[in-house]
Amino acid sequence: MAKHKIIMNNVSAQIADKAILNNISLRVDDQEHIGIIGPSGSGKSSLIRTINGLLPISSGTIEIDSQTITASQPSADCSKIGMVFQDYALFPHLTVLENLTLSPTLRNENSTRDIKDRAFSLLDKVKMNGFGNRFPASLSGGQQQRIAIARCLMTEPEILLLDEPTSALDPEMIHEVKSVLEGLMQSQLSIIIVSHDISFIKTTTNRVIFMDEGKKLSDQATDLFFTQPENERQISFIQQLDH
Amino acid sequence: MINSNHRILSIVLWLAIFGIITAMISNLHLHISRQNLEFGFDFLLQRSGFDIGDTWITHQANMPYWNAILSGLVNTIIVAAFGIVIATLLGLVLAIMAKAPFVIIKSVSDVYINIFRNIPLLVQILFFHTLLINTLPEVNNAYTIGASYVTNRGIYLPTTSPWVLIPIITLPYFFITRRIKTGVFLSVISIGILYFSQWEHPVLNRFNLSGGGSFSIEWLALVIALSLYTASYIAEVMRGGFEAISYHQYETARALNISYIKMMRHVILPQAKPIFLPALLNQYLNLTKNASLGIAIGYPDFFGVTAGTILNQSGRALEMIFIVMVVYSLVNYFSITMISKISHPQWKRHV
Amino acid sequence: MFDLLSALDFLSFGFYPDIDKWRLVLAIVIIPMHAVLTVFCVKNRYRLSYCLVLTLGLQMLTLWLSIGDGAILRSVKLDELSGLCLNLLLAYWSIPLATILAAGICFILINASSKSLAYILGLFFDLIRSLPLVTLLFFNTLILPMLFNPKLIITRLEAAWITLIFFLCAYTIQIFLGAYEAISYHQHESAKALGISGWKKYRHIDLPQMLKHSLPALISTYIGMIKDTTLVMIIGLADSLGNLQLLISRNAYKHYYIEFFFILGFLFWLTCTLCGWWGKQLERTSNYGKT
Ligand SMILES: Nc1ncnc2c1ncn2[C@@H]1O[C@H](COP(=O)(O)OP(=O)(O)O)[C@@H](O)[C@H]1O
Ligand SMILES: [Mg+2]
Repeated sequence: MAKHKIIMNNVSAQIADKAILNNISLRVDDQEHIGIIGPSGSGKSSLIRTINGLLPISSGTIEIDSQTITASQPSADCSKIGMVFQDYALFPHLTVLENLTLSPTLRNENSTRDIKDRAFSLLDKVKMNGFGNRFPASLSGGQQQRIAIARCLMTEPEILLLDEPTSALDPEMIHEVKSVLEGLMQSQLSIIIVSHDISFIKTTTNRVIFMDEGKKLSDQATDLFFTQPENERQISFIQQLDH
Repeated sequence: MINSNHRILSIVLWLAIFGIITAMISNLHLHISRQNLEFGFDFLLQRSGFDIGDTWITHQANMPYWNAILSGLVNTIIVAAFGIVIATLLGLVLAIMAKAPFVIIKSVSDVYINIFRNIPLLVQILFFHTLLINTLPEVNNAYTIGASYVTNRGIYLPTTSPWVLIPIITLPYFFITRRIKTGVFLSVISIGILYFSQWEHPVLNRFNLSGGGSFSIEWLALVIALSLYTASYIAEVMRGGFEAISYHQYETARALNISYIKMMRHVILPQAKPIFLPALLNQYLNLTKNASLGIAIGYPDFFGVTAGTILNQSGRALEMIFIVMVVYSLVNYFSITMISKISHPQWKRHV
Repeated sequence: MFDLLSALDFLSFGFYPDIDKWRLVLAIVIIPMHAVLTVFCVKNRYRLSYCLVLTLGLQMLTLWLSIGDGAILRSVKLDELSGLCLNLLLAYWSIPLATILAAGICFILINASSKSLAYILGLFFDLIRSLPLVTLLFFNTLILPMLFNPKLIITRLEAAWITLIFFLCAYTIQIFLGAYEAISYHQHESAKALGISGWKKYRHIDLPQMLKHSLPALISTYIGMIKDTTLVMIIGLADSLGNLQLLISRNAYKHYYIEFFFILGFLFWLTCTLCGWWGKQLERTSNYGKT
């Protein structure tokens, strides 16, 4: 029996009294890969931001492993959760290597030697070795995004949140980032990915969630999602994508 | 864990602030009681016992303290007003020169800005004061220009009723807004009024000048130094505004064969104005605050009167400090509110 | 004729005892060396704490050289400091301290869990900013001795020094807070996603970016501070401008007032220009790979 990694129960969230998420329940199993799609402004980013506490929730509960996030107890240990943003958000004043080592060093988990070794092996993994002493500003968007992916893997997360990791990139850079992401998808992580790239979602996820206006409208296995859509809104959205 | 750390930090800081304030108040109390000082503002109504020579609102010895403060305040306002007008005009000219297509004109402006920005204002004030005192003639050798006299104590001018000035002050407005006919009409009227009105001329005596109106040499030195110094800052601010405008605008204007001055006046300035306005107002505020440096050359501005004369004479340090703080805070508060209204319009998104 | 050299000597050292002048010269020479070392530290990306230790160390060293007493050096009173050296040292003793203080206070203003604490601190520094520096100098010489224990005698120079530090600090805080606002919210989010928060976030993510963003504004504030040290003359300290006034009131030097003002003006111009040039170097060395 697959273990549940994340359990969201009736989660709602609001920003300045405006409801952003509406009664969302969701289960993510260990090592499961979930895609989230939906029109922009539908609350996709907000949904995954509640999981690592970037967006406080106003009601409901989120259980991650044994920890519980509620409205009154917002923060959780997010060292198990890695996140990649649409616009990389590397620290501009630190070199690539320092970007990777900063968080583990500050947590004092391992020796500096181990942390560095790990950083180099991750740079290797995202095909960026040799760039350790460069500053982010001197890298292309695709390179920066690959560094950002490596950075969030530094803390050895068990859950990975990817928020449109390729939308800010030029077409040729999308390819290099996607190949890195495909490599990730082979690993033992639970992954939630928001993306508009349907072919990528089709090939890499087990399950797809469709969202609109802060609600979860459907939640189906990936192959069923595109062949037997169960929701009107979802049908028109998929048709639009095909064109 | 992190939160509780911050809470401890806050509590410690609160205790520290509270402790420092109590200690200070008790020390202050000790001093006040030991030196038999009293604290209160009723002395403001008492007779001041000193004259202020150089004022726009008369203050004499038999008038109360508050009148002295008021005339100091008016002095500050007038210095600031003159300084702001001159500095803005000069700054504008310098900024336009800085963007001019001729290297010589450009470098004149650059050199001016570089020099006046990098020399302390107080050095400039004292320099102009010393210079004016040493180069202008004594009273008995005064330069005469018509009915006016220039001496090393000040400039003495014939005066008349202030109402006469109203049409003259409003004149530029009509010319700037291109109501030429009204302007010409008003000019004729004001010349008539000036001609027929009653004038009081300054009279040259053996050792002094009496009658008429005057700008003292301190006033002159202060206004000159403040204007020249602030002009360099204003020029920088305006130049920044001009540079924020896309060079396409300059090129378009050139393509339309508009002259440099006309381009600045009709194309660049209207666009640059909203960009540099907040910083410009901030410079005005600085100039007004810097007017307090007049105390170094004995000009009786607000600060000179309160902290200099009244404090020395009555020994009411705490009260005077309080008044100065309140007045400057109010001035600052209103200016800052206005500046931030201009620089943060409603449409900027707040997150 | 007059003795130009002794006049210049008076402008630069004032009433400082003759046999100890070498100490003052040494202290002044340390200032540009410190500036160069700072650029060196930034260039080699040394830790901020090393720069802090270096700064505090050099501050102590210059203090000890110019006014310290002890086994090796003869005692000189703080009030004997005078002339252009007083201006330069006052600026040097207030700029780094005020910056460090401002960085600390900004941490409280940004992170304090109690809003009222931030409010009170903000109000205090707003008040300082709204007053002209002369008024602060003037009042602090009067009121500081009253606020402290009567046994603790605060001289005018000490009062001026404290005032300059707090005055500069107030403006630096404003600059730092503006720079903090300029940091993109993505930075805060990715810091949080990586589990970096509190002091560690401030130290490793906010402060370096704040320092970088605020560098031009900081430098012009520092130049302002160098110029503002002349204001201590108004409270009767014998700084270079005060000494100049004294000099040109003497008959021998009376007619050369223009020359003396020009010399002093040039010296300040040179100092400020060098400070501005130093700022440009710092900006160049800390541009993090941008071209
Ligand atoms: N900081 C914010 N302030 C106000 N509204 C916000 C903010 N962030 C997001 N929203 C609103 O929340 C809704 C969902 O946003 P988001 O989750 O970013 O959508 P998506 O990622 O699906 O495009 C949108 O309507 C957006 O306008
Ligand atoms: Mg989004």
